[in-house]
Amino acid sequence: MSLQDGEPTGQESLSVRVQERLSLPISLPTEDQNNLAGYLFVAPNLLVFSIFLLGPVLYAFYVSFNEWNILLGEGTWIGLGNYVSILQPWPWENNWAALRSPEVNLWWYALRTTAIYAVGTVPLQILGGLAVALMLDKRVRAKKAYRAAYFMPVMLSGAASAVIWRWLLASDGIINEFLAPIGLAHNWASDPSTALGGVMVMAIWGGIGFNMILFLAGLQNIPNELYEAARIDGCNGWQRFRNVTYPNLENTNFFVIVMAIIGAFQVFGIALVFSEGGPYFSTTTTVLLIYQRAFQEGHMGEGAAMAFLLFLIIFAFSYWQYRYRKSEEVDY
Amino acid sequence: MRETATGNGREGELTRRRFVGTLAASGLTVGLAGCSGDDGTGEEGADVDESADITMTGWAADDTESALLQELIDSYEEENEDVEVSYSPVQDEYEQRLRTQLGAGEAPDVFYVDSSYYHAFASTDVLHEMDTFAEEDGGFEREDFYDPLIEAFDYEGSLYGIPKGFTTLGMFYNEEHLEEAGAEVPESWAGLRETLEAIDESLDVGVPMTIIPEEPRLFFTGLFQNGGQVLSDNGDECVIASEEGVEALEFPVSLVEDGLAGYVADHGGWHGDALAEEITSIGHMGAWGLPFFRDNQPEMDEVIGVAEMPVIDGGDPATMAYTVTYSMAHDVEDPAVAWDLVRYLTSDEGMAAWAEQGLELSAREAHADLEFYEENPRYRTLLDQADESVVWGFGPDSEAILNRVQPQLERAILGEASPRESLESAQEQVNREVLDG
Repeated sequence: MSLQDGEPTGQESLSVRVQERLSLPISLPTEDQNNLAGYLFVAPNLLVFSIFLLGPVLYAFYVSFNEWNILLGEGTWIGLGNYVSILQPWPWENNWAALRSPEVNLWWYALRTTAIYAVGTVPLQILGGLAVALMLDKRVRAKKAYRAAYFMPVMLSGAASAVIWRWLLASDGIINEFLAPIGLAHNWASDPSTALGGVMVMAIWGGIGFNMILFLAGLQNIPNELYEAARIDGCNGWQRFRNVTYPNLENTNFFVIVMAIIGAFQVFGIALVFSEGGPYFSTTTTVLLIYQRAFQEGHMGEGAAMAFLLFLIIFAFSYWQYRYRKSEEVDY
Repeated sequence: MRETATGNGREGELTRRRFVGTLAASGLTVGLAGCSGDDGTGEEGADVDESADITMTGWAADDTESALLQELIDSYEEENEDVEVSYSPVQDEYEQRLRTQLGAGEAPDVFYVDSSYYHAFASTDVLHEMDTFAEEDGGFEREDFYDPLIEAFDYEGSLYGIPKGFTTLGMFYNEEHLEEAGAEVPESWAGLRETLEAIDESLDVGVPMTIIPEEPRLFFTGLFQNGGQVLSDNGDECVIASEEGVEALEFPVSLVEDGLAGYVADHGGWHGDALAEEITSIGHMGAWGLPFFRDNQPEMDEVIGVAEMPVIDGGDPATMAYTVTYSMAHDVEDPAVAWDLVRYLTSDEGMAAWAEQGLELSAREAHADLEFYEENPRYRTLLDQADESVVWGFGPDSEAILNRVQPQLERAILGEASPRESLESAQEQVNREVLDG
């Protein structure tokens, strides 16, 4: 509420009048005092955030400019050295060799693997989640049981579901039992061309439940009057979805897309447990590569630099999505 | 059981690491049994005058094992009333955790170090040198231990850890299967192929032999039998793509191509289960396989035989050895006390009692005469290979090297590239990214 321009507000004029009438020195909190109270309220969170998140992030940023040996806890400043050795050779050199072969530059190859994973999982996780949410938002028998069932994978730890899927997709696993009669039985996890597919199936299975919950919450926030009005206007089911449901889910949609993209670029646990990055680098995702370099091989500086490059990519996607949404925004 | 825990994944690394953990824990156990009863260790022990607190960590596959270690520690504390040892085993990500602790200066005083990253640790000065103590202490002589183990843990003339025990890699086979197929226990690769072909023709097993695509053990043993190496003598160049290496990799690849060998992940999960469930007839393992059969598969235990690793044609016998040390942190507060604990754990009596638990072989050469090895010829077979074994681990950059070599071995085994192409890729990548950088 701004007091600088226009009329004083009712409250203000009232207190002024009371002050005048009683000629008492009533002091309202000044702006500084107000701010102080605010800072005090956020202080605990700010403190914890700084110590456990901001501090380590800034430290990692510093580490990324060093050749850092985790065993010694100290490093040598090498400027952009880590970034240069990670990024070069550039992907377009030698006719895009880095994207075709993991030996040329594993960073670009892992990024390509991660991008394939993201393209393959994000749309299906979102469309799947929306479809399930729409179905379970209707009057369905045993609706709650279905919701619980679809949400179950979210509650399961990534490692546990990776183990389960590893069994399901094993060469003598149950999925192959069904595929064998039609001649499609395959050794999914041991074939470099299908292992990533296995990880993606697992991620879609887990992602649908999570997005379903978010979409369900969004759907329940849409006032019924809008649907009633649409019905009166003679909208059919598709039109109601297109003109009422979808526009009103915009905020949910934004959140779901951003979270799904971030999640996809950060995929780690399921790839580690399902196939340990193999066979032949086929499931070595960006974060798995960071883990190998930083924690297995002890090159913390290189690992930190990779982590910041990944941060830039995720940030770019999130910002782009944010801008895009702004430009699409319509006021009613 | 610790072994079954590996059943779902790839066996290679996991099993070996768990094995090592197992060793540690069980070794301790043994130690207890051996030490607590008599005053054997007491007489060797250096007197520890001052009172001290020692922290110790290692990995333990399950509670039984850590309890056994705790028992051994208790008996040590009984003999040294002024010393208090607090032992906290780590279940997962042991190495990563230890690295972080060392970097932060928060490492325990005594801990296990696997041969695969021992040199990375020793070369960065985070471990305490042990020779000084060893020299002062009449109870310890380098010569008491098997040469390959001491050589593996010798870093620039000094020891930074004492072997806790070890195992060599042997060929585990189903005696009944071989008999039914009319095949002999193979001693050479040509013989191995004949045996596998005979099994394939006359028996209905899932696959005659199981292998791990990213760690084909036949390849590594064949490479060393053939006189090849992973790194050059001075360790600054990868030479895995030598003719010797290509030859050693061609053989397991051809076995897979001909259906005579299959991936263990698809046949039982790990070699132990594959053999126990008769999905396969032959698999390559270390001592950790024997207690698995003894404790879980007593009927199968009767028919499982262990032979020395078959030798590549024209090569000399050689096999891999897996081993772990007890090491001390560089900044250990009471080096003398910590050393005394390590000495106790690796003493003659301690290690003998430990070896008799059967999870690991004794690293002390004199123990070859133990009655236990007379009574258990399969352990004897593994032990007999000790002098011709090569300890698993390839210098300070071992993990970085394996992260580049293993996917290439897998690539060849899966038939995605020829053995030569895969090994050349691995060699080029290791030289460019790891050893030059």
